Amino acid sequence: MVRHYGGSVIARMAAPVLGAMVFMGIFGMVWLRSEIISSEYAIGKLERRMEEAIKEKQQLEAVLSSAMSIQEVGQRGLGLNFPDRQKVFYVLREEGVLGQTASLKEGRAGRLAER
Amino acid sequence: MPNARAYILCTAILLGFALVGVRLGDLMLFEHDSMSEKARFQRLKNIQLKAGRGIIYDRRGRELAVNVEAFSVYSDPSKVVDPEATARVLSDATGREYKSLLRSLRSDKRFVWIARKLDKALAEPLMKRDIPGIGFVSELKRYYPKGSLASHVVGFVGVDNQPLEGIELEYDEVLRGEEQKVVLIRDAGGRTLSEGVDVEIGARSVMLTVDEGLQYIVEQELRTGIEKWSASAGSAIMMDPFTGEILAMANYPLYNLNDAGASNASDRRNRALIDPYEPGSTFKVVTASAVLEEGVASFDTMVDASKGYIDVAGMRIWDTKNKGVLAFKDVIKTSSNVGTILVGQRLQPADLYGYIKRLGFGERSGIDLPGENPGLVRNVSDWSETSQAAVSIGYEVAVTPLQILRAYSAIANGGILVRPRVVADVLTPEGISIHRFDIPGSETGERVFSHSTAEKLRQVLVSVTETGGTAESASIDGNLVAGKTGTTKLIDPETGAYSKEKYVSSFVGFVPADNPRLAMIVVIYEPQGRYYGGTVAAPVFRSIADQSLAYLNVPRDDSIMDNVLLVQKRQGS
Repeated sequence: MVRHYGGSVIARMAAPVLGAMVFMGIFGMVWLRSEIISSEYAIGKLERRMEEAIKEKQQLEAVLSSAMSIQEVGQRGLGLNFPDRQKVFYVLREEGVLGQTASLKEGRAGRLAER
Repeated sequence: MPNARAYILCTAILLGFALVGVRLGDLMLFEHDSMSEKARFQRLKNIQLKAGRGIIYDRRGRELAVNVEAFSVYSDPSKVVDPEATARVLSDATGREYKSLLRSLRSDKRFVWIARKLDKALAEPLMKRDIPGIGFVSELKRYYPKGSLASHVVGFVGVDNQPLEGIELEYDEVLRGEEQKVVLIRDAGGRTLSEGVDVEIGARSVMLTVDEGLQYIVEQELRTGIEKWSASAGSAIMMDPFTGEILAMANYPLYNLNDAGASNASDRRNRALIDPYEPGSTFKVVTASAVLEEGVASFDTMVDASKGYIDVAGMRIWDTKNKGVLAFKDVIKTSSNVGTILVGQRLQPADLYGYIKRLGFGERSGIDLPGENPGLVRNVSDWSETSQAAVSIGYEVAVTPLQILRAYSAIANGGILVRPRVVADVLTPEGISIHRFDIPGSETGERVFSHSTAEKLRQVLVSVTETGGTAESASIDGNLVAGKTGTTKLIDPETGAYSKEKYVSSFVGFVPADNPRLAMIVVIYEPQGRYYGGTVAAPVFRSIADQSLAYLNVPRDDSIMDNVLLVQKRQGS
């Protein structure tokens, strides 16, 4: 007489395992869903903070732009000095005197000078 | 008996479950649509995200108009507990009159505005007080960080961001941000969940041809000149004579763009292109260009102006002093009315009229700013017997400062009439250029006289600022200046005749004369004491030109090659 213990063990374990799997699956889905929702809350919160930060940035940029204006610098006597025109002169471009690379091809300096 | 009670209890419980099941079935099967619509309505929130207006930059990317957050205060009067106390608090915070606030708070409406677009610093203390019946709305407010700088160019918007003046008005379609509708998911507590909405909606921006530094110099010197001569107003325009780019445009009085409502309407007028005036002697180059182009005289033609006056159809026109017999070039140099009329009379009236029209007088220049006045040039068929003489010296025509500057720019660039322009570029919210305006330059503008005529006129205009000319005071150290003075009488509105006290003084020219970088006009209205263009307007031109050339790193004509700062000579010159 041969007894087939294996089959009955599997049969006996299958139901609880499947049940556990279903339970864990449902729990996992619910947990995942709640995590997604809480992440959305967190992101929503961060978006609002970002919105506030952008508004703050706009405000600060406006203040900076106002403080840095030439008018402000000039009127507050903070030193609006123009260049000394005695020290300004034209550079005449001479064709053929262009920067070259080591390969003796015309280099970036040459192309820039051509612009 | 216990069994009977158990049955009854079980039956009741089962019935309860059955009823719940039936109701659930009803909700899910029969009322599904209406219920899901209700749920959707509660969960979803439609909002409209308003984009701020685009930024206005100067030619170097410096902000001239931006947006900042502001708070508007409103009230639901039915929820206000103590109207008197609330009105007092709001009056202190907003500056609004107490009685008017109290009236608003006692009204039977459900919504009244208390104050629009308060600064955050003003609104925050109010918000913290949490006053019953008072609410706040966050809005974007236009802010002009440079205050009054370039006020007549930039313009301003109203309380609802509606464009009212300047670039704000002319380029509203570009600057106006489009609203975006967004659906947000919210929970029972009203908290919103992220839907990946871009919280900052940008609008297109514009970059002007105006330079903040040059604008500041022009405004400062114009103000100094006007205050010195106790004048009523003034205008100055600086332009690149080759491209028509307006580098600076100022009118005085200025007004603060952040408080435009406090200024009066006349201060907000962009006189430089709205108010026409009789140009006087600055118009003599128009006559000279026609004379040279038609070949009826040359600059070496001798003219007898020794009488000191000329009679034209019963009208006597004087020179300021007897000029004697002089060459036509000296007629322009010394600004002789008699000499100009004598030479101008060699032209056919229709020819003179034709050159006036060719130089753009009597029509709009096409500048991209609102309200430009075309001026007034009467048709030659309507001219009287005195008209040709009067027109040749700049009377009986009405022009704007911009039109005169445009004509002188044609002399500076070799004979091409350029179209003035204030906007150089349109940018995406990310700052990428999407519409670089084709700036009409010497190649694309309309030729109005020959290069040779332009060169001759340039040489004569240089002589005007040299010894013996009418505008020695316009000359600057290091570079030649070419230009012409103008002095005209204003018409007295009471008598309808020319006033003996009210004048318009002007100077228009370009610098450096042999390689022009700047063309500029200065017009000063009703100076007191002195009134000649060479005395009143030319020194303002000199001060502006001197500083502007330094600002732009333009070398002196006598610059030597062993110094330290380098600039490249402009192409084509």
